[in-house]
Amino acid sequence: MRLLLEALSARSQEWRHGYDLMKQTGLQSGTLYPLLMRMTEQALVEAQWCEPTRPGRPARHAYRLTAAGVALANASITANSGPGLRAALA
Amino acid sequence: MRVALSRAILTLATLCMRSRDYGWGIAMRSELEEAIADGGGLRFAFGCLVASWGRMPAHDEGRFSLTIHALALGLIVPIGSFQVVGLWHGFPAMLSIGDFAVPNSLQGYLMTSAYQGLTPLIAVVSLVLGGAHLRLAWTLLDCDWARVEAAGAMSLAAAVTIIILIGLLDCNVGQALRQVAILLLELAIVAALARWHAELPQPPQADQAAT
Repeated sequence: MRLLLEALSARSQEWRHGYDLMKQTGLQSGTLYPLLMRMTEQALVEAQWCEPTRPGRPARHAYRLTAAGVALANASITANSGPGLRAALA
Repeated sequence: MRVALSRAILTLATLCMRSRDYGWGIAMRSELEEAIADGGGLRFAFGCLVASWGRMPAHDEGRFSLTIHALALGLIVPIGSFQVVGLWHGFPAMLSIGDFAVPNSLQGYLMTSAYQGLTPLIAVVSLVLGGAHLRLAWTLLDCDWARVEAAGAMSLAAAVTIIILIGLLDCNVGQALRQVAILLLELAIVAALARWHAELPQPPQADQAAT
């Protein structure tokens, strides 16, 4: 969950797609989606449907942190990482 | 082939989700297209299946699905198969006529004739019982309760008919009675599952889930 929080908080205003998050975090779909589902249920992450970027492709689900998610991510980063990572995520 | 398999696995994953999570299944399908374009479709789809199965015991619809599969594949199909395989191995010809076949008597002659006449009928009814069991399992997995009821009634009628026919031959009906008892237990469980299914939320249409 921490990896996902870090990935989403790095660009907290952007909507991110599931497959892009997989590639960034290195998480497999079997790990990522249960996390996203649970975080959405806990109102840490919000989801919306985005128009396909390429013709012939289906609409995609995109995710970003809610205010509560951003707060949790900041708290988690402050508690668990050194100043180097905080600076990188800023 | 790998692409088709990936899509099939993801469809299975979506079917294993509760109705409230149906939108997540559609989201996974969209991402699968990206994964396929990237060459990792199969791995992605398999991961989604693992995710879907992992959540099944955590919600009511998943527990219901696991229960009907366990009942159908663990009890009803083996019992139906047992009926059919039993015919293969000689039932009801194995029913002993030694108890009633008094040699050189009218009673013995009549009973032997009845035995020879009824044995094929018992075999046919046993086949009907086995087939009705397999149909019961299939319709149960489909949650088609009208057909489940019909298959259950057919099974019960066939089992009672077998008892009557074996009773007419004056053979031991103990085994057949045990089968009816098991069948009644199965049908009681199926009735409880039908009530459980009625209380579950109904799955949304695909277009509604996508919005």
